[in-house]
Amino acid sequence: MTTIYDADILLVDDNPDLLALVADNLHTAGYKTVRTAASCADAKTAFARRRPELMILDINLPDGDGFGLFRDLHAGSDVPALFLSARDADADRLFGLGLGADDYLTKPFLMQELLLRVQHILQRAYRAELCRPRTVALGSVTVDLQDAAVHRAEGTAALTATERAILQKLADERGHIVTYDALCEAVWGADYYGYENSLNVHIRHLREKIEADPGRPQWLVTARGIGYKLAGEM
Amino acid sequence: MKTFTRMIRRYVLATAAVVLLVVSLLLGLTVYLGLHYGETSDDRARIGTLAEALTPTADGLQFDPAQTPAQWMQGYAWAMVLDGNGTVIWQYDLPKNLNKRYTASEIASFSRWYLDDWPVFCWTPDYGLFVAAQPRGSVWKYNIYSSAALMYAAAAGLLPTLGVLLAAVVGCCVFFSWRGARQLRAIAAGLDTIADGGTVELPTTGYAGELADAVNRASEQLRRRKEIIARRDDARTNWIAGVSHDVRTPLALILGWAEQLEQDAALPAAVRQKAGNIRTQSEKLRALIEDLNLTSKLQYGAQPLRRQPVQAGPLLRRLAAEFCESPLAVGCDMAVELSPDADKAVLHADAALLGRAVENLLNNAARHNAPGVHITLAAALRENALELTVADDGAGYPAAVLHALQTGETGANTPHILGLHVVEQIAQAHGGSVQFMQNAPQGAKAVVTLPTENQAHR
Repeated sequence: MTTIYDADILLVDDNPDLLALVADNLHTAGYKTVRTAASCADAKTAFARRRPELMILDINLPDGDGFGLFRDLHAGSDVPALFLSARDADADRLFGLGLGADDYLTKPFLMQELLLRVQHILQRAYRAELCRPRTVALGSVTVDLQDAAVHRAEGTAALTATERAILQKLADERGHIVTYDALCEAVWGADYYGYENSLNVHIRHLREKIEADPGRPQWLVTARGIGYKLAGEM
Repeated sequence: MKTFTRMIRRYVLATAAVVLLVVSLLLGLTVYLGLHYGETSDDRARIGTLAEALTPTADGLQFDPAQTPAQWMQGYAWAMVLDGNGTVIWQYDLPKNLNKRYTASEIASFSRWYLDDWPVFCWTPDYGLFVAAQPRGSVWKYNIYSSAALMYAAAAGLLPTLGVLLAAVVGCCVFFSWRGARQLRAIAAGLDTIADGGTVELPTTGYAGELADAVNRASEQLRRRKEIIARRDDARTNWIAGVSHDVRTPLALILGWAEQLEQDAALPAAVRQKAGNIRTQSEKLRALIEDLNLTSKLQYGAQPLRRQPVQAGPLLRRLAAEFCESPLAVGCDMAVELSPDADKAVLHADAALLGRAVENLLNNAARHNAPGVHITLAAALRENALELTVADDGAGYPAAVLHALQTGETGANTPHILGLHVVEQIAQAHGGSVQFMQNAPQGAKAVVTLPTENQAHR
């Protein structure tokens, strides 16, 4: 598995329409392998045939409930799971997460949200195996994260270790806002308090290296009061 | 407890007052009688004075000339003086039959009792034995003897006896009032239990049995009523949960398909626009279901709060980021402004519920305003409370909505403000409050006040 899109996703839901809809959307989003099952028995067969990289489980199933299924399948493996349920009862949500599920989404849900969460779970669970983005294309500028080098038409600039770490985190979540907290934590660890000013300085330096006009950034944009975002390729 | 201490104290004080009243009445009566009947004898000279007033002169015994003999003898019938042999050596108005020589035994007798029914009093001046009689029937004479030991013992024991008696009276008071209070105390404890929402079954024996029975019946009545209300609340919450559960899957499909159609590049733009509208409306429906579920749970206390220490800054930034990523936020300009102390403030809160409140406020600002609206999420710390403000520069709250939000009035024409009502309920569940107002110069503004960690623990 080199990218999250190589992940084998097992989708379990008793509603065939929903099964088709979610599978369709996952395919459209780029996931190559999506298998579906309409009952616990089907899910177990599919699981036995090949261990998936992610399970998306409904809770109400014709021959049991998703919690039991998760326990059975999770017992011998460490496959991440996301519960998808029409039950929003808080106890259920907690129970699901308490079992060791990675996330819980209540129906109805926006497909975008589901895709986002699937992406997060896969990135988190398979961080070690995944090839993190090595090069980041920012228009005419290309950043090689491995060498910490910025290649521009007028020459090459080097990134400091901190700048590289910041850009790596933003590239991991490219297109999404990364809060100050998440960014600082990724760079300086859990006890990141007091680094915010320092972060601003590093961002300024980073912009000088990657932006055509650092005063009006086009790629490394600020979400006022929230964090930063590395804009997607245009 | 205090009630009973007060009750016993009152009881004892009342008894003391009664005793004091009786004693003072008795004393008063005695003084009155003494004054009333003693008055007549008051202008009579005392026997000793009378005896001293008589002095031997050359002409025999004579009264002090300061007063006439009649004045001296006022109140007395007659008087005489006996010498050592019992012979009358001086007399005043002495009845003839008594003018004689007295033997020692006669003297001994009348000195104690009467002389021929005359109450007589004796005095022994130097010149002999002075005897004066008061009118017959005017004086009751009696001699009292007692063993000296008894008198001494009585005198010595007077104060301790009084003390013991007083203690006995007070003790009795305390004991009986305590016994009386004990029964009432059980009833008061029962009432306390009922007031705290419990049920009681008190024993109905004793003098307060009727009272206990009434308390028992009230308790039973309340229990039954509470049960009915609980059952009705449960039914309502379950019904809402059930309906929303059944609606969820179909809505998930509608939402999913609409989303798909909206993004299908092969479709004409107008069709995709309509699909987008279906998606938007479905999302509204989804928010409605979630709010409806939450509001009914919060209202009937079925939603347990899982409060944990949460740092305000990271939570608010995460919520803002999530909002910015949502399709609703497209076209909105979002800014977060946190004061440094608010950023570090720690709330004792259910992060999921708080997130829901902020989400509702942000969604509201985005949903009811045209694209291009500026939304601000701000937080400041004021006296151990976090003031969370969501403001926009859009159209502001419609007058009817603002009225309903500010007065809490509900009626047939109340606008649908479920989402904001949920915000209010969540704030209240956290011991906070929310205020809705118009923003200056334009737009809507909601201020959520939440106690911070230190205060929440108090």
